[in-house]
Amino acid sequence: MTWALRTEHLDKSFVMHLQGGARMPVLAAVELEVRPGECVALAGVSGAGKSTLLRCLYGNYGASGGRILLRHADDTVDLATADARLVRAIRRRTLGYVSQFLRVIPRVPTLDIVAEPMRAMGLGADAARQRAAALLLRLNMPAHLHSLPPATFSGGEQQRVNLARGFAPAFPVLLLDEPTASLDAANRDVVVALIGEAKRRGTAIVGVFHDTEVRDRVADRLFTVAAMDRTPCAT
Amino acid sequence: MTTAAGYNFGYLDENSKRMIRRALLKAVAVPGYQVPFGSREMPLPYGWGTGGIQVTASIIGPDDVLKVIDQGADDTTNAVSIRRFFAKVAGVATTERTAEASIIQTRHRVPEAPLREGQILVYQVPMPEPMFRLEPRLAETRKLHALADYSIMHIKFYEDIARTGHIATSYNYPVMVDDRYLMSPSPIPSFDNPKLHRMPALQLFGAGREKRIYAVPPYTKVRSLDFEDHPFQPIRADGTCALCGSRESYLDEIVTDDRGGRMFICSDTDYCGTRAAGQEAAE
Amino acid sequence: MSPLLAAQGLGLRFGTVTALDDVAVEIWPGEVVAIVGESGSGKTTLLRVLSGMMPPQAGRVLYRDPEGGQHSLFDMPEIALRRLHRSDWGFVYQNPRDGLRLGISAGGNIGERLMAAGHRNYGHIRAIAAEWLARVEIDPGRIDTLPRNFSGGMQQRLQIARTLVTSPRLVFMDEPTGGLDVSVQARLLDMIRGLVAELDLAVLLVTHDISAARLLAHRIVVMQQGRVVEAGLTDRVLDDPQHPYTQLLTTSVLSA
Repeated sequence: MTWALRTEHLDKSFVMHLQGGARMPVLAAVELEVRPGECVALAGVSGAGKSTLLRCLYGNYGASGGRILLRHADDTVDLATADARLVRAIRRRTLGYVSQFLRVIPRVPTLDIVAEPMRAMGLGADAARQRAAALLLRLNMPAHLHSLPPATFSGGEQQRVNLARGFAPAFPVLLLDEPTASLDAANRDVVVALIGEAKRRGTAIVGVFHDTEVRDRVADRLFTVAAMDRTPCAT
Repeated sequence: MTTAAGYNFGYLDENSKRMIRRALLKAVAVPGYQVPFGSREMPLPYGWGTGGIQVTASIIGPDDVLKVIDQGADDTTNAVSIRRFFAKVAGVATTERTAEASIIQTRHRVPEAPLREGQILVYQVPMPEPMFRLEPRLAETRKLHALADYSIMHIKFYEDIARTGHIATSYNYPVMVDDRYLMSPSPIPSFDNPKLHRMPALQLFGAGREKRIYAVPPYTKVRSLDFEDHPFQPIRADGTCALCGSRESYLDEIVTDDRGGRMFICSDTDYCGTRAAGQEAAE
Repeated sequence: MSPLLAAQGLGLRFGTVTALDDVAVEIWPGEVVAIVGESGSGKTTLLRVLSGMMPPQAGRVLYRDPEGGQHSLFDMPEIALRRLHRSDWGFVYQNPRDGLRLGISAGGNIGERLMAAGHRNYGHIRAIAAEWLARVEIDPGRIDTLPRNFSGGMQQRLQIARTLVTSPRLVFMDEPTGGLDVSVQARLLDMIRGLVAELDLAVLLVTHDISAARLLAHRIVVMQQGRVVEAGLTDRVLDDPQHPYTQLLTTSVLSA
């Protein structure tokens, strides 16, 4: 298989019913193809729709048109038209996403938050926690934080929890949204290393990197998301 | 044998008796199941045994011998009244000897002497629904019976054990009849419950005010509800009958003075009298 | 593999008021589906219909039993439906008083379904009840306490324990956090979340609280005036709402 993820004529626009039904196009006819082991960095001006594209690729935003094809369980699936159960199955096994913000679940310890996606994949509780702990330590999160819920963590610490959660299960396709935004240089290096290891494993990665230095170290190529005329037009 | 003028045999008209017998047949066909029936106006108010009297009136024939007991005694006012009533309206022979009776109408006790095939025991029942205290809605208890869902009864027993260490019901103790229906055996002491199990006699239950009839055919399985680790225990006062010396029968406690003096006497007068007479004869 | 419960074309009117209009819902094993909407949206009516408590005037509800047999819910005899509610299904009421026996101890409340299922060993029933109290974060030492002496949050947790003790595959929840203090709600939601994952429960949850839906649900069904206006993956519906009403709902949520 030459590609792990590709889009065909992907469109995305938002219809804002509360603003009189104004329609705001963001993505038009996006054709993106990512190979296994390749890291594609989305480029474009601020507001061009890079995050939107990433969220469409995860199924978080619905595509307005076109297809998002993925290799999942020995089959090719179209995420854009997949039903909710299939999307969940894809997210469990094939597609990972490291978002910018950690949506905090009260009371659950960090270690369990990181271990959860691995458990969903079928890994045993102990093995999942061990891998989670190892990754957290690598990201300079000391052991005494592992049993705490991340609600009181700093932004950088929460981001590292997100990163550990996203990298630990070794998904075949990984989406990264500003993975180093709140990190210091040392942790940025860890992330770069993690991306490198993932690529060597054959992971296909699509990322938005504001930090051009990191971007240049990890990206195999850039994909420019063209900014569209955002003036909302009445439908 | 003559019946009082102006009264049909057994007081009730033949159609009423037929209706009650049909209900009795249904009851016998489905052991423990409460069959509604058209309870008739009787010459005594509800709460005085009209259900039992209607059952007896419907099955009694000129050759029957009737015994009536109230809390085990043949000589209480009510037992005497009912016995005289049937003597008057049916002209039947009456007796105080359990062994000689063909029909025994009882309020709140089972005779100590074991009954035989061919005898009929008619119970007077105030409240036929065993779950009434826990679930007063009859529409709901009917559904529970249909579902054979008797968990509220088990819950009540669970609560008893949690609170006091044992099941706190000592009379009107619910039983499972033929492994299917939960039944109230009427307010007999729990001590009497084992007697219902595989009794050779036919057991009929009549509730006049509540208009229900139910039955336990001879040799039917009757099991008192319990838990595996808290099995049913019949309860009896730890005493000896002052009249006949029995340590097996159910005893009434009688306060003799205001200084705490008391004595125990058999509740079943016929049993006690027979035993005492037997001892006298032996002496 | 078919859904645990599937409803099609549900319709119900109360006089001139349309409570349900051509509603279709499915729920699969291990899945949490939240039905959200404001008062009058029909969500509570939908829950009642899906749980067999109220028959629709149009449409049908299909239930798949543990052996794989399909049954039309409203063609089942009442006795079978009641048995279902005691074993394979659970129902958590908004007001715990509706789902508990207030005059029976906590242990008795939990033990009830066990006793209905034929358990006859007092010690064993009590041990299971104590275990479940701990699981719902109630001190097992309070096993003999009457629920009327519990706080609202504890009563709700007791209700959940009472429902889950027979390992139902599907649990209906009607505003489980309604009327509870915010901190108590958070704790309860979190506990439900844990139990759902641990027991692989399917849950059909009615709520007007969008953040509760986001926390617990895999899928969300948005109702307005008896119709399903939008349905899908929870994060998709809440982050990229398509229908005007959904957009209104999501932008109306105040975040702390």
